[in-house]
Amino acid sequence: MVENEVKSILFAGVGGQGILRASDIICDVIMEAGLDVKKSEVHGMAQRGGCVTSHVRYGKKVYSPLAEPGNIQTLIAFEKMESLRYLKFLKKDAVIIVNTEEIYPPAVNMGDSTYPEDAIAFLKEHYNKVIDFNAAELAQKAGNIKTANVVLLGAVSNLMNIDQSIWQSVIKKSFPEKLVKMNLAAFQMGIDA
Amino acid sequence: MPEILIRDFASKVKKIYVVEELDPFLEEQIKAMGIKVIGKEIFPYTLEFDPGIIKNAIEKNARIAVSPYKENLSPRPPNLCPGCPHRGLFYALRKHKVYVHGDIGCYTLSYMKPLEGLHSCVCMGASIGMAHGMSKALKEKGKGKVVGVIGDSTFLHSGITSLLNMAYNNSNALIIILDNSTTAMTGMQEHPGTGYTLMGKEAKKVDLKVLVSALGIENIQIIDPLDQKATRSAIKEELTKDGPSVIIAQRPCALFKRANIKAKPALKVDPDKCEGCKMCLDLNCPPISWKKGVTKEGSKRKGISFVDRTICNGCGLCEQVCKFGAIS
Repeated sequence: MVENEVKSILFAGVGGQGILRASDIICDVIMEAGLDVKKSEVHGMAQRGGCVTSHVRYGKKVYSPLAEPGNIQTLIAFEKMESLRYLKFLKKDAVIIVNTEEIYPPAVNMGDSTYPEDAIAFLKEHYNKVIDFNAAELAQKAGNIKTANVVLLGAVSNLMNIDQSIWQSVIKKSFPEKLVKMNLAAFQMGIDA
Repeated sequence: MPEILIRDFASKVKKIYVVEELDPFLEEQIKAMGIKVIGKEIFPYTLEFDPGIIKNAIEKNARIAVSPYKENLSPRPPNLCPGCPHRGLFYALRKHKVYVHGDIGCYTLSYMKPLEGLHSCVCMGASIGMAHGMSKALKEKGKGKVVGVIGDSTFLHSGITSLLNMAYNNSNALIIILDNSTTAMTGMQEHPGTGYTLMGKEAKKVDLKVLVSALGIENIQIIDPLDQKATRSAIKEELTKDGPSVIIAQRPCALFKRANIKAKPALKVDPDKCEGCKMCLDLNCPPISWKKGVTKEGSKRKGISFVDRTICNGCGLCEQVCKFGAIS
């Protein structure tokens, strides 16, 4: 790592998908790894199905919790369409992890607007590294669709130079005991995705 | 304002920018101390600031990154939660073709398509005064057409005086108090109607019906907004009455833990019965979506509704709305 290079991750998705929980977990992991971390997020609308984002920035010393447009290295999109909404924040060589699950907004359901079916193709045309898989289906296999956020964290952990044991111990601490096994399974599915 | 701290800081630097969202509150105070600062002449009054906006304001001709995606993405506004009692009330209300004055709370979210439940929204407590004023101004023409909606906590915060005025000066509007037993939008704070103080101690619990009656309102009904038939008939009845009416739509917020609501089994759409009419979509319930391409022999349907069973809380509104008995 360059002297005090600050890296940024953008979480984006739909309220209720566990975006803020996932960004909390990643912050704990980064802190456990001994780095400084700051985050900023959309509150309030979260439970109500609106767009939700969370910026996570980490490095030796972080000043701003919000990333500047064009400066984010990693996008974790929890929903296919939401992967397109914040591209101005990404670096040209950004890595994109995207859950291919589709959640229609009201206007699409009503026929007033269309769903960007070609989102993944667009991303692949413009970015070198796009990792796409259906996190909801993997989460279902792990035991509950609500663990899709932890599946996505598994995929992110492949990109970050932080020891797997730190990830596992933070996940263990983040959930009630009866949910730990399922979340660790979900995490592993993300690593293998 | 920590004046000494600010003066000390100012004495150590060459140039000061005050970066503030919305109004120049700190900026004006600091300028009043005689300290030279740069603020609203370069920073916008609007928007939620990010480092790009600040950079753009300070560096002229800064190059701000743009998205390579140029198509219009459908917006994804926040919505009422699955199982929200307000959804039932607004769905029933829209059948009556009335002018609805809104207020501040979760129910403000009903203004968007497809519910389109509100026609005005000004500030906390405005709904009752606005409804009263409109009813007075329209006289006979406004009879049965003017409604005000207000949440229980907003009513107790700043609606009581306007309702007293409405009873005193006698107008024909219908006021609906959306009583979800809490202050939901801001995170379940206590209020005088919950029976607890903000510190969690037990307290006097105001009885909304008794309070409304004491203000001088004679027509009062209490209904469950998830019961469409009862809600619609109560609204119809109260709209035709002379003088002010109040309906108290009572049902705890679906996310309110203390109410201990046991989620009912999630509903599902019977693909053989669904005609694809999209009627259930008018509820704007997050689990309900519509996918085209699922056709049926002998039917004109172009697609079909789905219920995402992982987020449905089984409130049963869509079951009441479906004309084909396809949701159960």
